Amino acid sequence: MNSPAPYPDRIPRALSRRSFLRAGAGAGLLAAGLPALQACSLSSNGGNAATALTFMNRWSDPNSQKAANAMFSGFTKATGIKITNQVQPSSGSTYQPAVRTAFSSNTPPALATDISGPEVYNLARAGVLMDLTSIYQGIKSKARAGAVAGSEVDGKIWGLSDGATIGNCVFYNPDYLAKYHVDAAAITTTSQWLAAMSHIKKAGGTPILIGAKDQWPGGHYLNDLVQRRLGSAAATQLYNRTVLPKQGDKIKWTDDQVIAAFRDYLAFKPLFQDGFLGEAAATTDGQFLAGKAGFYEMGSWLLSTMRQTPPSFTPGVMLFPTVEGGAGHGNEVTLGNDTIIVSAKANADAVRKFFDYFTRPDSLARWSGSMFVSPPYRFDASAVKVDSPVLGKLFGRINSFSANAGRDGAALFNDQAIDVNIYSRYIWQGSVGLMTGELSPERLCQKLEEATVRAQRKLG
Amino acid sequence: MNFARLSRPAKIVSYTGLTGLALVIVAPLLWLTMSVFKNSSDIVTNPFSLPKDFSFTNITDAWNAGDFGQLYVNSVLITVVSVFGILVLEGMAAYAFARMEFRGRNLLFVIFVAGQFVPAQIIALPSFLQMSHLNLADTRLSLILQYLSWAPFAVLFLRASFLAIPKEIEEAALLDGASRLAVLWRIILPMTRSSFATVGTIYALWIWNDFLFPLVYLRSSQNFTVPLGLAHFQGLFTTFWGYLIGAIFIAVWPPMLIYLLLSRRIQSKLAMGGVKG
Amino acid sequence: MSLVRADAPAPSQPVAEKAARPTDRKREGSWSAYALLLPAGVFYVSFQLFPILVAFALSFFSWDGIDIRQAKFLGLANYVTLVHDGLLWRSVWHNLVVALAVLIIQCVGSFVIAAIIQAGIKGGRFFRLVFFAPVVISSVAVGMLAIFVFSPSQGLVNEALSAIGLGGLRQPWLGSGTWALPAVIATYILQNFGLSVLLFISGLGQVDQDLLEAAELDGASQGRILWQVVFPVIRPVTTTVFLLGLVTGFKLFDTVYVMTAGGPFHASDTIVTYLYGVSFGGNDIGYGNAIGVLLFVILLVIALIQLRLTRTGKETE
Repeated sequence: MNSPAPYPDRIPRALSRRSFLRAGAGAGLLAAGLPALQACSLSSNGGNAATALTFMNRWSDPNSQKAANAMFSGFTKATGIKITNQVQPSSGSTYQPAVRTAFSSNTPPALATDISGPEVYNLARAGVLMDLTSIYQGIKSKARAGAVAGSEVDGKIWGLSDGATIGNCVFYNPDYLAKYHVDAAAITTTSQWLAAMSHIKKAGGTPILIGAKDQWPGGHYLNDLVQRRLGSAAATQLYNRTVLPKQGDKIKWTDDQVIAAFRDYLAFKPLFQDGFLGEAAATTDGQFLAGKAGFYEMGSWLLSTMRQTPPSFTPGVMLFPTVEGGAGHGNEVTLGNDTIIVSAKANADAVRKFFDYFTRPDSLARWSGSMFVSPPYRFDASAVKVDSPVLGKLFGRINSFSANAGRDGAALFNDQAIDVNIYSRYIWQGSVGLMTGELSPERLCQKLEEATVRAQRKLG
Repeated sequence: MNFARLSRPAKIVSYTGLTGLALVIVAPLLWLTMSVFKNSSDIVTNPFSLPKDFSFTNITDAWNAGDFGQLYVNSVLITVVSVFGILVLEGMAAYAFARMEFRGRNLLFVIFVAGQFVPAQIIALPSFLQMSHLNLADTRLSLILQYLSWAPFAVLFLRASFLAIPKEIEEAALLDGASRLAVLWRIILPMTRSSFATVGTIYALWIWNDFLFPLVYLRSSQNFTVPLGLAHFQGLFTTFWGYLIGAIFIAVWPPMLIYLLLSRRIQSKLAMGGVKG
Repeated sequence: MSLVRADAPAPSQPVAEKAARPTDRKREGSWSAYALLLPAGVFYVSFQLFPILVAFALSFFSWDGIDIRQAKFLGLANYVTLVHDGLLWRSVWHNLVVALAVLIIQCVGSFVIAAIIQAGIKGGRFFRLVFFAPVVISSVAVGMLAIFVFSPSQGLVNEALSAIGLGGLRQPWLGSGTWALPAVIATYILQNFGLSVLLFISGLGQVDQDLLEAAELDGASQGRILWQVVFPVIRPVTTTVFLLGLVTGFKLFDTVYVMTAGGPFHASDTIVTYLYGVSFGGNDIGYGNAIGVLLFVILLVIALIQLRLTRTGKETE
């Protein structure tokens, strides 16, 4: 037990303690004051000054940052308007809330990227966005289908696309497949595909990988299969029931074709790699690119990963095969559409200049090649420079998918088109439940239908 | 308690158990350190082999891409200022609760402690709107202000350690005409140094590792803290393993190195008397 | 040693006078007490209490997080939903499992480990170092590392099992309904138990050495010594460790979220991850706050129970 300190006659230590306290308090005030001063100087505008725009985005991985910064500096060189790059961590579960929070604050960014669909509708309805209809009129001649997909509400435009990815791609490893005498070019239907993969599995190979732990990869399969069974238009109608009012119920989740699509997913279960439910998508990305499997369902953004982690083979890519008895065509695509929204408080003139610059054919070509996206505006696809010939070929093929899809051949991703409450619980988590056996396709579809009916009621 | 006096089987179990635990903790860290020097595809193809070509690329790329230098400055600044402030503020409050009689003491104490039981997730949004109204959104100051309000645990802990000191010492000093503040300063504080060290350490860890408030408050990357910067490397659909391993490595080793170097100091401060009563 | 200075005046009357006016002292004590409380109070009330009250109030509204002026008043509707929300109560159950694991494995285990180290096992300092090291790492980083460690195809755990011939025990850890929660709990405990060990060590350091030696000379067994000499002294540390463990266990978020996001299919959802999904994922801030209120009540009950239990013991507070 420590003996109590004697009441000091002299106070040598106390002095140093007191002076330490003073110094510390001083330092603390200074440290607190400096950021405060900084905050004051950085403060309000929200990009109202004609010479600066703040741009919130999720282009956070190193490649995307490079591409974004290049685009920003190009814009500044052309117009003299500076852009402050407010790049955020890219995880969807944190980014969308961050956008909502940012727009509800006193200092919203002038521009921000966001996924199309309900996120934009909600922000528009809350009155925090700038109406871009007149700006869109100015560039309408340059725009192609998809430029305002998922950002139009009540006839007004609230966002302009900065590039779409194709979601329903199936990448494959021709060398791996050759070992099992499988020719991907001959596969056009899912039955053919499943048969080929069973053959590989029986021979001891790994036909296909999935990182189901992250939940959204399973959502992909549900998306692709529903689109093949219903066709893009009907699928879109179904999804719209969760976010737009007065949609009726012509197409229900409990329709035979939808239940059948969910059941189709179960057919993949024995073909996935061992332990697939516990594997992260990033790991399976890496494993596929290291040549460990034959097929891999993934969106076209896999090209960005390939740029970072060059594959040990020359990958091929095809669209998700058709489903026999389904209404969808084999050339219909799923779009992952990112849109640029604008704060109601932003400087309209500077914003117009930005969109004018962004949709210039040369900017679009550069943007497309560095981000591996297809911006839905007119530009010369041959001017797109991709550093690696392998990636260049893949990207060309993927671009041809969107070109051949036709005007009505595109549907938004289910996790962009469907209300977030519903897709995160029933599509993402639901896909896992299907695989663990906790949910049957009928039960899951029933829950989806109930949730959708509730949503319709709330929307009035 | 003397280890030497334990029975043989007990000793063996002790050694095996503790060594096993140590192994379980060290193994992943070793794996991390090995992997960071490999390239992206190698990490996936040969997870357990030694690096073929020793390369620092993952570390340097991650450091630059995440601007970790700035992140560390921010984290250190925020943590140091906040912890210091907490010790001063709650030290005073805890002393009042422990030693002084005043109207509403029990009620106020309960109010002070109740905040511990509320999850930060529901405070985050209202608090952000508050900061936004004060024009403090997206500043490091807003984080410091928030952390300075984390009173409950410190008040609880420090009050307990003040209560453990026998009253007679203070009474005698007060009788001699010393002011409350002087008593606090010169007598109580030296005796409770270790409690303050404990509280300071715990809060430093909590604040350093906090992810939620930086996520909600901050938008400009030059203000980000280290845990927030880590999240940059995990995209929703794309993750580059090489960068991610590099980033994890950068987030893990500096705090550990600092701890390993200062551990002697920290251990002695924490062990000095510790919590009394 | 005398605590009174040699040349101080004889304290006769002044003491008597002071003792004669207790209310005066209390009133005068009140003001200086309030002065000591004020600085901490200002921060606490402004940035903690005020948002808490706002959050509680919002639990009666429906709000999507964008414009607070558009929040709709719902009365008790959120609480009605709460009672019927099966997934929420499943999360509460998961937290109870976590709490039990933390209490039994972490708190008790840390004590045993601390006792062994304090008793002088060889390499005690090394063990202390290694056990506390993970505590200083961000739990986000630990969670990301854990994803690798538990990777079914190439993680340390499965590979180690195969290496020692137990390949049949390989699991899809974070994708298994049965093993996801235990994996998360194991990660959390392994990261944090070092802090409890340290706290116990400091507590054990206060045990009177003379008493210990006397007991040993008397021939008392180690167990008896533990019971009669050690336990009473470390009771307050124990209370702190237990309470801290319980409360942080119930508020568990980071580790779970990074590793499994509550999956597979809600098998590892804790109250706070579920709350987060509802509030930030699902845009229903009001309902999320109602869940927060529920958690607050749970923790309050736990704290009161624990206080009652410790009060029946020693003097302390």
